Amino acid sequence: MNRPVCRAVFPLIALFLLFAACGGGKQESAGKGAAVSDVPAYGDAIVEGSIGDVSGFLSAVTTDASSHEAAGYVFNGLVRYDKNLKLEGELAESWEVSPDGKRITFHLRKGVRWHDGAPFTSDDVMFTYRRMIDPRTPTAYGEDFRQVKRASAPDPGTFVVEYARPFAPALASWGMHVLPKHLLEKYPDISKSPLNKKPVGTGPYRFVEWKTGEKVVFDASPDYFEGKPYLSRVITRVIPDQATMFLELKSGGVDIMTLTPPQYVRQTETAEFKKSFNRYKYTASGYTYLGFRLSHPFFGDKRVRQAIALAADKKALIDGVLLGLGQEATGPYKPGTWAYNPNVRKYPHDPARAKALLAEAGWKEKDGVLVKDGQPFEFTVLTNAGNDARAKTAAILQQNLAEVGIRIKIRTVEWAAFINEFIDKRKFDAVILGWNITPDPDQFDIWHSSKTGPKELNHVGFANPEVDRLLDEGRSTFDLEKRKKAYFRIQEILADEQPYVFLYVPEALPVVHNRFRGIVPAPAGITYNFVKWYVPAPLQKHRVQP
Amino acid sequence: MLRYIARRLLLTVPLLVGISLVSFLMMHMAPGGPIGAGTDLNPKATAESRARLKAYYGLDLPLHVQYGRWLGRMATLDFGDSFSPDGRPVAEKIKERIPITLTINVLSMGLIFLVAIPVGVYSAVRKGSLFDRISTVAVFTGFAIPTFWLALLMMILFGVKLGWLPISGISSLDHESLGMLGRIADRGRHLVLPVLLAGFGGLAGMSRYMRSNMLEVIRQDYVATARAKGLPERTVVFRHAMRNALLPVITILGLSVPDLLGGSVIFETIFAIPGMGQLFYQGVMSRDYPLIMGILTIGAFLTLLGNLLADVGYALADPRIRQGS
Amino acid sequence: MSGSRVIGRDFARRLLRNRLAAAGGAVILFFFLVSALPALFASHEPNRIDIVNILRPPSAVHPLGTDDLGRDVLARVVHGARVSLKVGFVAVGIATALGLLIGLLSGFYGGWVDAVLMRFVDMMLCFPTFFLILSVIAFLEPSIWNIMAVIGLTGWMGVARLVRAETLSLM
Repeated sequence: MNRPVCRAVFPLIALFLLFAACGGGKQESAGKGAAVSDVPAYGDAIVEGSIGDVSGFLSAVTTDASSHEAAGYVFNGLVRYDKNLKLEGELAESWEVSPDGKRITFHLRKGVRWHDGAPFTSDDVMFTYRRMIDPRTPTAYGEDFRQVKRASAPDPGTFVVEYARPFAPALASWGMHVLPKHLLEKYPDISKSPLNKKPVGTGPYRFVEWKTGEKVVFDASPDYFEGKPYLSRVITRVIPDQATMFLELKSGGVDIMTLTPPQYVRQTETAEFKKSFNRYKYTASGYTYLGFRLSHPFFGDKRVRQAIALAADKKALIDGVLLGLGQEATGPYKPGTWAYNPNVRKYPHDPARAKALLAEAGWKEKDGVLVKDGQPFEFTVLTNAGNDARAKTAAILQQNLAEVGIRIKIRTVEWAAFINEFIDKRKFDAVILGWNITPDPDQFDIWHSSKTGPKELNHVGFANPEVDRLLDEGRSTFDLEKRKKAYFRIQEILADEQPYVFLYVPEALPVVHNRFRGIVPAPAGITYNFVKWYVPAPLQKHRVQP
Repeated sequence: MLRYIARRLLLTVPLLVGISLVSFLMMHMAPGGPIGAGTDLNPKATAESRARLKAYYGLDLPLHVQYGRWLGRMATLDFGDSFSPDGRPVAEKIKERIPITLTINVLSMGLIFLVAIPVGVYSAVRKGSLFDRISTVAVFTGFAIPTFWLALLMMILFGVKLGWLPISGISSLDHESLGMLGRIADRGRHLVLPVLLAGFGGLAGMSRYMRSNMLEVIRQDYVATARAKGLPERTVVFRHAMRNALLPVITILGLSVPDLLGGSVIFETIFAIPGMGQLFYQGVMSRDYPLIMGILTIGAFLTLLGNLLADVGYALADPRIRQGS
Repeated sequence: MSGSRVIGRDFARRLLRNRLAAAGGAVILFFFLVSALPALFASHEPNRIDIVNILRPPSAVHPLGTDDLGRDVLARVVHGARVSLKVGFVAVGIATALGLLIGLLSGFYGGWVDAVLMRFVDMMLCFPTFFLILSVIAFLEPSIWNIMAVIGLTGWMGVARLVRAETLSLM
């Protein structure tokens, strides 16, 4: 039959098959096992999968995690967090805090060079500081630097900052990436400088190329001050879909990614998968909570909040949302860190106690719903759209609370609208949100009663004079013991008051192809010693031309 | 006819201005703003830094001033700079994404035309036959199946299990080191799955449309006349019937012009294709006003142009319509 | 005998004679039945979370398996059919009605009516529906009526063009 179908379609199919056959075959991706000798060797490349693309390499003017991560390969700060989330020196070899706590003197490393060969000096740190407070720089992080009363660079290897009052979080703020003065001083707005697209830093890797929306490539910097990294090349591929990234991992297109709980529990337990990949698990630095608008007529009463905390089945949440890969959150600090208080009041799942507390607060049961003064106990829980974990959390909480006679409606709103229409205007009953837990325990902005204005972070309206005082104490001293005492007491108060029901802290689940050695999980995760990762010579996959 | 075209072209400019004004207002009506992305729930961002950022982007000016500035820039075809942290010109960001989106859309549209039209014609000519029935089921299956799910299945089959095709992206890691032919082949391999899947869903519409047009045309008297004259069936079908049945396809071609630069963000996300769909979606989510306005304006221009082409084309091809317009 | 009754009966006869069309119609009717009487088709509650049985494959207890919170998929499909069918028919109904009206007017009257209406269609085609949806979700109470209205009010343009073309070819 000479139908036009055949005439048109066959050549097309042939053409496509030609293309398919012309390309390379499937890469060998099975690891050859740990039997190979474990000698560190230079070479090979690591391909990371990233959900979002970089939006710029100057961390001062970007706010997304993907950009900051990419910039971290190229730039250094004065300090950084070590494997136990304690501050250690990076570009600063050491530092001293004056006895009154108002002056920090950084002693900078010697012999460090920018990737273009120019020497790194205190001038660069001074320049960075000046630009952070410069109104022409579109940065969201200037506030910490505006606390500086005076900054000086007495010699190329020393940088001194003075504050009006002792300010403990200040030390962490100097983890901000230092900018090269000689390359940026002629640009009044650093976000418009070429360095935002082609960065030059002092870090372990040099920038090679950025194909927007596709990938970023870095090559090892031979004269990095901690020693040349073993892995010669880092490639970050932009793969916005988690399922696609997992398929790429399995077929060798990606070497390292973060797994979701279902992927960890259901799809990577096979012997075949474990032959080629190593999975890791460590406590993530974030928690999810149910926050109450404390000015809401229902939630002003502490007993009601505590009752809801008792009604919430946190184990079910962890099992349902995280498939067991997480732990209960008892407060706003990360379990296992020095500021975490393990001995605060806990709220195990106890619907009977919850009902008793609610009855005490004046709520009577009628046809399965609690009623007080003719009003049923109904409210809306708001959360942001697109977050599967929070949506599931809401669904489970809905069932938990229904058991004690509380009916909730769940409403998801797109993020920008959520923040602007509901959070900022305080037009909500309760929200399900999460916070990142910063390594420095100062949480002034979240719990202090002065931070309840619009756009400020104390959106539930928590106001406790003792907590206010303790927050001030905690941030005005560098003495670790004093800070620990203050933060321990804050956690006790928060556990009693329950302005949030603290729900859970998830586990981070990275997975890496097992040809990469030198990975040691720690509280900070696995990438803190990235420059020490290597692939033994016989297992190297990519041949990297210098 | 020429007067009609001239009139439509003249109308395009005020229409574009009107559309851009409506878009601008709608955009600002949605809650949130561009500085939200970085400063919302960010403990380090204060009221001062927010105010500073607002002034930096010109967002503290009254709406009509902001619109006026934008319009003035557009008059010189200056799309302005994006509000995202990289601050690159909007025109540059759009230009980067157009080639790949255009390629995929043209190829998948080509696939649809090349497959659906013959299938539709044949189904009409052999109405009720096995081919007709099977092709109906096949195209509707393609229409009903969720493409993102099918995409993942195809990726697993061809990417992971068989290793014939790459799973995602538009080029391999060593793309730059390949020769010219190698690069075309590499790009081609990456596009096989996206184009096939994009086309699969669209086959139903076009083939059924073709089929019903063809059926209607075949019923006409002049076709019976042609057959009665003793012409071979092939001539009847191709020269007489199909040509007339293809007329509405011209309309569809014209109407598809604005879609050429559009992309499905779900599709692009799954295949990690840096296309216009993702660009627009991310622009909307981060309220990147200049980028959004730029893309909407281009889309509006193409829509107006496409509609004009469709109307003119149809009028030219079908004498019955010419009188009406 | 009234003209519309004849058309109706004629339509029904032609529909039933075409086997495929009749089968299609039966399927649609079945969907309506399912959405009207969900209890007949699914015994579980659609929103009952069962953490122990997350993502189970089809079995005797759960004919279509369970979702990521252990809820019965069949029950959710059956109860969700109601919403989907409603949105589908009402939204498309609005869009079709609007498109029919505008297309007819445009094709029938021609002249400046046609010109104005078609330019209006052009403008609506360029309308940023995304923002409308964002605003609606943010400002109005979340209800499917709002969504149906938005879909209907922004999706009639294709129908209008089609109807106009057909009207013109009949004029």
